Amino acid sequence: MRGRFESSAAAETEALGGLLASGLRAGDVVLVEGDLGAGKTTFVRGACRALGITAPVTSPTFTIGQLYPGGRAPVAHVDLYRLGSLADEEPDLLADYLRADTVAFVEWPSAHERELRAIVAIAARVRLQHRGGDRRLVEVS
Amino acid sequence: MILAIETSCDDTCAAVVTATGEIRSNVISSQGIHDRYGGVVPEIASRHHLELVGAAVNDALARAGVGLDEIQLVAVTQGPGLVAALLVGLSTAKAVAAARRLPLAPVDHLHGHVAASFLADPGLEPPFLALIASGGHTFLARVDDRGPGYAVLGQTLDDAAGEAFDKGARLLGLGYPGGPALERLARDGDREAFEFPTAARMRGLDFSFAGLKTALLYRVREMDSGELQRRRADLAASYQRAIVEALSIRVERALEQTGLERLAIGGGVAANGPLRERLTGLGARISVPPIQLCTDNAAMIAGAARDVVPLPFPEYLDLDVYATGERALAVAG
Amino acid sequence: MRILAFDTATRSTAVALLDTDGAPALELRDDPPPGSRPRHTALLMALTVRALDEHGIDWDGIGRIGVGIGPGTFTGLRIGVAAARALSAARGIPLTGVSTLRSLASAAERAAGGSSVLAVIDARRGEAFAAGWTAVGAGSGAAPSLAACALPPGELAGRLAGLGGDWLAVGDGAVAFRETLERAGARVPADDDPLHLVSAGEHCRLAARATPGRIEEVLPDYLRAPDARPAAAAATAG
Repeated sequence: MRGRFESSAAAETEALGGLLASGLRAGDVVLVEGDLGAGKTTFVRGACRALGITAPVTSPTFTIGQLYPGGRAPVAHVDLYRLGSLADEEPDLLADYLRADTVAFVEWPSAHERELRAIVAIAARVRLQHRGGDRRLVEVS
Repeated sequence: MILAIETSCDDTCAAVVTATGEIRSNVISSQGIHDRYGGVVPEIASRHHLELVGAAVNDALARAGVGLDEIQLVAVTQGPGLVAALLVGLSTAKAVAAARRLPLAPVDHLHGHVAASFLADPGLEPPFLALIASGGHTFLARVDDRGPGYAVLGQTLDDAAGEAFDKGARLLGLGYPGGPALERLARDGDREAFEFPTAARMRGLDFSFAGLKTALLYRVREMDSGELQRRRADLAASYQRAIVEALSIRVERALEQTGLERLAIGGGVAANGPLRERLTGLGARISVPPIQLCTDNAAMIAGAARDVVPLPFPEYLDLDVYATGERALAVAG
Repeated sequence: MRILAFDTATRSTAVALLDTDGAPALELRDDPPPGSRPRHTALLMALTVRALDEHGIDWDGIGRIGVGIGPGTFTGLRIGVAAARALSAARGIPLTGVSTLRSLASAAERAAGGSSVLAVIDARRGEAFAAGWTAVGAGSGAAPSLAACALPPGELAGRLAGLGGDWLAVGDGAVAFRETLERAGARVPADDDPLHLVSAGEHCRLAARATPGRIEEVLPDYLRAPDARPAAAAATAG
């Protein structure tokens, strides 16, 4: 799934997440970019639902990552918002999340892209932009 | 006598609590170094925990006026939290317990927040409603006994309440942690100045703060820097009010639905003045722990350990930590 | 005197007890294969207690603790150092930190046949932690001829060439960066040679010769400083 999409509600952003997820396999890593409140976690929630995860999908900012077992594949939901530089962290910091058997979504990846590319291959990149009110522009590349 | 260690986030904590729940010492060693990073940096937090944890334990024992000889149980936070940070506390606790062949109680951090109410209010008896709101967690639970098996009635579907404070504070150019900074700024502002969403129309007992965060972002964006400077306190006050309302509305609903007459609050957000005030006005009999028992601390871990089945030596030697709250929430099913 | 030592700087979890008056060290260890996660949390204290049990002693029978302070994996180092500091404080047992690189080099000296010894630990992210000693330097407490550093293997090879002489390179980093080091003229034992594994028994021997200081001074030698910048703050301002 590639392209530019307009979303006019959180439910539509979730649906786009689900659409992307249908083409993902274990081991894939998806970068999810966007401002505060742009709908990153909403997009990931939609992807999780499509992958068969029923648990609440909440912001992983606090613990850096959440792991949702079950579903078609375990889903890792990583959030690098709090990190200064991934280069200064334990190299294994994300090893519990970015695994060969997980589908992984990484929020706030932009400051850490070089380090991420050194450890994983990026399957897709999602950019969410505010378009006023509940509307969002969702770019998948 | 229970010795407890808590290192799940950025405070290095140790405490001594008696078997009957009397707090003999409650040492909180704040790292105070994360402000400039706008959050907690796991590697820096973990390095500081290692440097501080020994002194925190010694300090807790000294202030309690006891030696290790008088400790009968070691308690430690097993999760949820930052893995590298939790491991410093767990490794320390395992070694202290093994050195004395003492039993060890692994405690869930969230159970600790619930248990803080029993320390603060010895007269508190289940059943009651608990609101736990912190930087990483926000949930409502029905507490029927003192153990970790409380039933979660509602939880956040996106951000935690404390995270909403932190991220809102960041949008307003305030430091970390955002809660206290935003609360201070809000004192000079008009809480009715802006109408922010409280997700009041969302039914049930779950919380949502993502829309609120976005609403603040839009308000901030449409102002030029001069106006933003003038209205910052109003924005803070209105934003804080929305968080307080979002929490209070669901507490009110939960009290109504469950018929419970008592309410206990915990977690860092429970230190927020306007929230304490608002909840006190709900009519339920409310237990409001002092602030040092709301924010992360080890006394609450010792308190919770009183109602956890401890592992005798050497059964805990291979114990590991866990990062996320699934385990705690799974108990509630 | 009986010495307890352990190391968690690499994938291995190694625990040893040495009686300085007699028998060779008893070493209990776990060496996960390359690519698998270390099991420090699960095994460090369990192996330590087992070592005491096999010796038939309690903590009172330990006269000194030596702990590997790295460099190595940050989380692993903290698990080991936190445990060592807590044991030392709870039982009043003197504690000393042991450089994991010096211990690797010291254990390899007998096999070096007069060569200099380079200890190399895989620092991940394409870098190596390394330190080098001229013949019989590491075990005797001499200063390293190549001070502990974190370098890409190419630069490390350049440093070796600059120093000259014959080198024996050991450690999981020597295995990981074998080709580069061999091109620089260093000799690297076979991948499965025990010289590449950190020996807690060697830690015991080095700890026996050290002078224990204050517990608070025993901290990991990370060799890398976190220098975090408020990246997300910059991304969201305004």
